[in-house]
Amino acid sequence: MDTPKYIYIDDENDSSIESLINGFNDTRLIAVERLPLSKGMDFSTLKNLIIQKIEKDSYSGLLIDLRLDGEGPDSLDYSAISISSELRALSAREEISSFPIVLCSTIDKIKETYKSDKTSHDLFDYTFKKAEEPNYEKFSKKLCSLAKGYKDLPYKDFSLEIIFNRPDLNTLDQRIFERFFNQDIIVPYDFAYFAVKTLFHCTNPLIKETTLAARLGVDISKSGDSWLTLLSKFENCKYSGLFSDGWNRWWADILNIQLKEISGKNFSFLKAEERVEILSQTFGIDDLIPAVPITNNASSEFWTICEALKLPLDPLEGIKIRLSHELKPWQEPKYISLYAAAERIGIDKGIEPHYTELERIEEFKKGS
Amino acid sequence: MAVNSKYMSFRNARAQEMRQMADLLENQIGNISTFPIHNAIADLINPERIPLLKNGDAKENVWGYDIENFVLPLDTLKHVTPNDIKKGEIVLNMKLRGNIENWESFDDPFVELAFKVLIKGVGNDRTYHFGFHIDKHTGGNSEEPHPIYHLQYDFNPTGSAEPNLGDLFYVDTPRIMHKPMDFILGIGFLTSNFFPTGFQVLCEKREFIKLNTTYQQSVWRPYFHTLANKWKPFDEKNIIWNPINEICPIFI
Repeated sequence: MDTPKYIYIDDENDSSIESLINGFNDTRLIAVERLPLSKGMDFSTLKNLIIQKIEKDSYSGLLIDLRLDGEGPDSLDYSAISISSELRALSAREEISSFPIVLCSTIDKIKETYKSDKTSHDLFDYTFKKAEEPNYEKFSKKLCSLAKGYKDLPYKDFSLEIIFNRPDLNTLDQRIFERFFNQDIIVPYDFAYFAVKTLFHCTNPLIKETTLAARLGVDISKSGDSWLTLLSKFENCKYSGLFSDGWNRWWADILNIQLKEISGKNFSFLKAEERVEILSQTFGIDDLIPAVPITNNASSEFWTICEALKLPLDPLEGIKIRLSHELKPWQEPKYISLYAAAERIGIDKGIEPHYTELERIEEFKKGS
Repeated sequence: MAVNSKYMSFRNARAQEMRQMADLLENQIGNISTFPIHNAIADLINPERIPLLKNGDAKENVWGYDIENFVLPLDTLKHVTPNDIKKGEIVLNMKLRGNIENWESFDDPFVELAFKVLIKGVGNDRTYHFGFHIDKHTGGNSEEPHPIYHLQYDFNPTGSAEPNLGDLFYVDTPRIMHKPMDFILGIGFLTSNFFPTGFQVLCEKREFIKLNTTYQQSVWRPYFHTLANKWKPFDEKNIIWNPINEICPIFI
């Protein structure tokens, strides 16, 4: 597949939009092109323009600003939510092909609109948060992966084992994939949404790299290249299904089996130093540095991370954070450390303690 | 080779009971991940999966499951030492294998059993651990004679290479004769000991009572009838020591 092309829609039309588009295009992973709007352009004109680009001009996806009805010179009377909702409905009815729709906005606007309107959460495959200096490489990789994944989805004759590239999916908690059992109509978007929002953005059955490092007891930044060498030893746990070129994830259950085989012990019970000692000896890797507890924490029996600091944390010492969605019974809660909670680190990224933890934080502040 | 339908119907029935217990824990207690239980259920209902015995044998008439790192909150922190421990948890790892034909009989319900419990607390500057297991003794070259089902305390339950033992004299602790314990009966055992508020809540649910009654019948009846049979004959009329839950509250 050639470089995937994304349509970009925004009511703003200034240099910041120009630099955002260039930021994506400079990566050469995706090509982003602005679809010019005119102030007050009506709903069906814009809808037809998008459909033409997707169906006839071989565009792969849509990158859309949340508040098209904002204060920009090309502002419209409707938001990204209503136009995206219409496009999703057309795809579901198979009147047009399915394609990724990525929301693009500032964190403040997302907080203001998107978080209060939970019904719209299901519309977008991914949210790109406009920031001072976005990591365009990272986001382009994800957008490229979404575009390619949508094209490859064998949804007509689907097999979960093929889509998620794991032959023994039936050994896992069956509730995870039950939404796909006995369904007559499943559209590519269902898989895409499930993969990104349910699998990639949550802990269990997949885990991200920082969580993997926590479970192995390793300090990524201090271990340098040794970390990469160690990672290569866990290739068989690596998720290789849909969108795996955009999101690096590992199967937690396969990791546990491998760790038990290596150590003969329950790895989660061991201190980081003991884990690293075992891994260094098993794989003959020098210079692996064990992670140490975050300030004010005592345990190095890490199994999760502090979402604010992205550092290893023992869940027993963690403060649960508020999530925008309800936790599914197989998913593990996300945490921050007491230190991050007390120092309000991560608040700007929307990472806030769960209300049940507020008392504990206050007690800690009084005691420290 | 797929397991035959007669054995599968037995395994599906056990899976359904495990599901009920998982639902009870989720709905009545909450904040408990039932993922480890549902992983075990996935294997139980999969006709392609035959649980292996310790020696590697796969027998169609053997049922069982492995539960890994199932965590319950520790609620009894009032009397703990050191007193800087503010939060604790109970971690259960277990492996059960049973002969399907022995279920509901007066024979030993299990072929293999390992019910391992780790209790963990975090203090101001370190973690603390305590552990015990309820196992079925299956041979081996141990010099000490063991009760077949026994509870034994473990002073290094994490398997640390350098455990901090303080003044403790680390010897094999006694293997205390104990009734066999599957996952369902195990929940009553663990919650009644370490999470009494949870146990109380569960005991108010008829599904929990029913599950316990059924499993006590299947797992404990053969054990205790066999023991009682040592002093035969006995006349039922002479049995005046009751109610039984005063002897042990988890005889529901």
